[in-house]
Amino acid sequence: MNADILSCQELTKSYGGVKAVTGASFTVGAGEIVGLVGPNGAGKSTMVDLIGGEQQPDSGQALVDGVPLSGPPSRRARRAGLARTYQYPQVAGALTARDNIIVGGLARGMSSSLALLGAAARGVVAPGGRALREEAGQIAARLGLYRIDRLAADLTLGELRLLEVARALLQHPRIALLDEPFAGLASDGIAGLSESIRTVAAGGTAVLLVDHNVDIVASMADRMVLMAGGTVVFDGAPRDCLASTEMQAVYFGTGQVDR
Amino acid sequence: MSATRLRPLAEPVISGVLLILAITWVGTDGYRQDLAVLTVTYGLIGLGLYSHFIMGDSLSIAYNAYAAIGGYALGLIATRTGWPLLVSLPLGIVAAVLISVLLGMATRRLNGFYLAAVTLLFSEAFQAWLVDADSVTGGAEGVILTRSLSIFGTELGRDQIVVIALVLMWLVALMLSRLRRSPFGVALRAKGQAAVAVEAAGVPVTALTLISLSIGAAIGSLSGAVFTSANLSILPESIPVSVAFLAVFIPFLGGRSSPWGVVIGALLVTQLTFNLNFFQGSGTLLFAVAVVAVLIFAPEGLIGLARDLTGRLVGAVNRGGRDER
Amino acid sequence: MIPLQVIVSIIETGCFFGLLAAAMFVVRESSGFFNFAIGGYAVFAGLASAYFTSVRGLPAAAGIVIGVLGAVALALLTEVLVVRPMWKPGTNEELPMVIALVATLFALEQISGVLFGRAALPGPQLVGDGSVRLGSATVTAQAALEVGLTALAFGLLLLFIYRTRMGRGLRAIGENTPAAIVLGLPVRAVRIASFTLAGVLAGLAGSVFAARSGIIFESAMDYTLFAFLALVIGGTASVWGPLAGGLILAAIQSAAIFYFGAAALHYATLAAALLFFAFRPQGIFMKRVRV
Repeated sequence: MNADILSCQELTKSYGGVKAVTGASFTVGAGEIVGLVGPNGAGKSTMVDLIGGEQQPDSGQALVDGVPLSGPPSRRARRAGLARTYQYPQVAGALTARDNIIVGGLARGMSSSLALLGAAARGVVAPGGRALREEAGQIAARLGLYRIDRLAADLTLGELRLLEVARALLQHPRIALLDEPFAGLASDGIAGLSESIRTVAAGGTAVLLVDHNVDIVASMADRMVLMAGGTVVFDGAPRDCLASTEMQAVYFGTGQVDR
Repeated sequence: MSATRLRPLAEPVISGVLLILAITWVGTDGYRQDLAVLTVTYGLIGLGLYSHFIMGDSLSIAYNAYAAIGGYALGLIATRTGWPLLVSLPLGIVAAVLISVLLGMATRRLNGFYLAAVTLLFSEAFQAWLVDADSVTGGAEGVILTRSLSIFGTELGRDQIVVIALVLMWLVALMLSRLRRSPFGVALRAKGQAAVAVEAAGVPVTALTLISLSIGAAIGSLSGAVFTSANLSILPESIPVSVAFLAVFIPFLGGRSSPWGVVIGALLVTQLTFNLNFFQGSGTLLFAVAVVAVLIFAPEGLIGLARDLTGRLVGAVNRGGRDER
Repeated sequence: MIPLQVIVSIIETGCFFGLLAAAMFVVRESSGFFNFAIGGYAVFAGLASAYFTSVRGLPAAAGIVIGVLGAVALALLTEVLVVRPMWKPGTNEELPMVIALVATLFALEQISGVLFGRAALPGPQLVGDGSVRLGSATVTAQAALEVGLTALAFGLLLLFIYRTRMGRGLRAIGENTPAAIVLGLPVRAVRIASFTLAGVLAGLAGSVFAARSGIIFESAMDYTLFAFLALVIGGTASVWGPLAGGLILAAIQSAAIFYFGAAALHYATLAAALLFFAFRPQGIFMKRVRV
């Protein structure tokens, strides 16, 4: 495999005495799709928040290209090339799908207060942004999102998830963090989105796919990381993971179950 | 579509023609000039609000303060210094921007009506201070200007100031319309509903909000400068706290989809309130009722209504396509 | 030390704010939004009662009844004309409706001015000029009436919300309106009830308290603003929240005026709001955090 892009080292986080994640470690390499699975309460969402910057770990760290992630999400996006999607799509319904996708490319011109001021000053003279709009269109087409000039509020859930992937891609990320991308999708939506995610990885981006649907993840991941009770209990090939005793224990209730 | 290619030119040309018509209509008629000055005063306040409220969803409404700063900057420099009055414009803008940034930082965790309430309290406190600090502001009597704006040594008359004011509102609306479509505008508009995603895409959202507030404060300060230079006086009551509410209603009345909706709204407010005894009269009642009616029956404002009607007339031609807001 | 007399006045003002905040509270509980028009109901009721007693010479009690009925009618009109056509529960699209409520506030303020005149009017005097000495303070019959009435109103509100089926339905619907609709709860009926109640509370506040220092149409916006602040300070976790918030707000304002003069009212209110929002955004009665 290629060099590690994302490396989580002994991440630990507790909320008021309840341990959500304890010493979780794993890596994701360039162009690799790693599936992070586990039942509800296994600590997946906390991992996403710790990597994404919505929460700070009590101890341990996450590194991208060997550099520790720190600061708010905007800083991680800029410094480490971290892009993400959300379990509940975070989309501005009053904007077109295209404008929502453009958001992913905005940091190129607006990464600091000063740059933002410059962007505002340029904006009042000439709107511009044509290159971004075109790139957004190309990415959307590649992912199979066609109703790109409709209001985001009019899109289906499946389209919104594609929109979020497209927005993440426009960031030209080193690592894409996909949070429950398949939740609520019908089978054809799942097929389309899996294809898109493979496209992302084929471009060299590291993909961390967090989902509780083990079967879908297993069908497309290069490697699977199984979490239960806040720790990583298995890390290996999907086929081995599905057959492992840990998987049996976690999902069929012999021993470790989720809290 | 070739219409798309012509669009960037259509906006300044059409609005520019309307501007010239407006300037000609106003001419040297004192009454029409009063109408024009009031329209621009309201229009600029509404346009200021447009930048952070309609686009960015931050309901910060301390507009009487920003306008007063612009007005008093002019008044105080005219009466207390020998400086050219033009200096007061940048000074007023800088002061208003500073205040808006401080207020924005103090309220950065608030949104919606909580933010509106605190900024409204600030408006009232500022108004009280204007009366209170009579050594600075002249108290309730305010400031009477002893001279007017001058350019290259020539003092500007009211006729010229009215023309400049109209051109100023046109320019600001045009610039905001461009800003709205620019990547900055996209970031700002996305922030309202999807701040999390904007932040995660690498844009510092707090800075984005503060800049949008500053743009609004700067425009608000210009509004006060227009009012003061046309009337040659500024008092605490010139721009009452309730102006902030008018400014909130104006874009809803005209239409939120474009800064031009603010201009249309400001024209309407002026018609309604000025012709029927300014602000104390039943014009305000008519205006308030009109706003309620427009909100109920035409949520996209008059622009939206017009678009709806033309859409129905054009009928099948463009069915399926729905324009962005 | 604040003199006893100031404390009496704080309690009076606090009761007034408390009633207004309670009017906002019942709508907030039943429907999940702030009805910013309530300042308009209070001003209308106050001016109507003042007009019919001082200009038309009706007895004070009749004036107050007319004022309260007027406020209830306005509240119901708001529900029918503004809320029902504009409200979309479960969406985040409530902004146009709330803006419409603010515009309604302005319209009511102006209607009151057009109907009853723009000059300040003396409120209806339900009780005479009698007073009781209480240590160093004088408690007027008017003050006693106001406090008694507020206590009665809150007592009845408490009974309504916790003891009647409709009252319990009120809170259930406010918590999660889309779910309440799915469950077939009488969402509309409860909302109408809450608007009626808001009209009664705001109408009482406006007409009974108008006797203190008269009433003028321009106060509508401040009434709404202070009711909102009182509600924010007190929180919505308990029926006592609005009253506690009203008393605290009145105490802050009166203390500021007492120590720093009349202009300090606005500075102190702003400072109090900033502090409360910074440190206790959920109000002093904290709602239990649900997991």
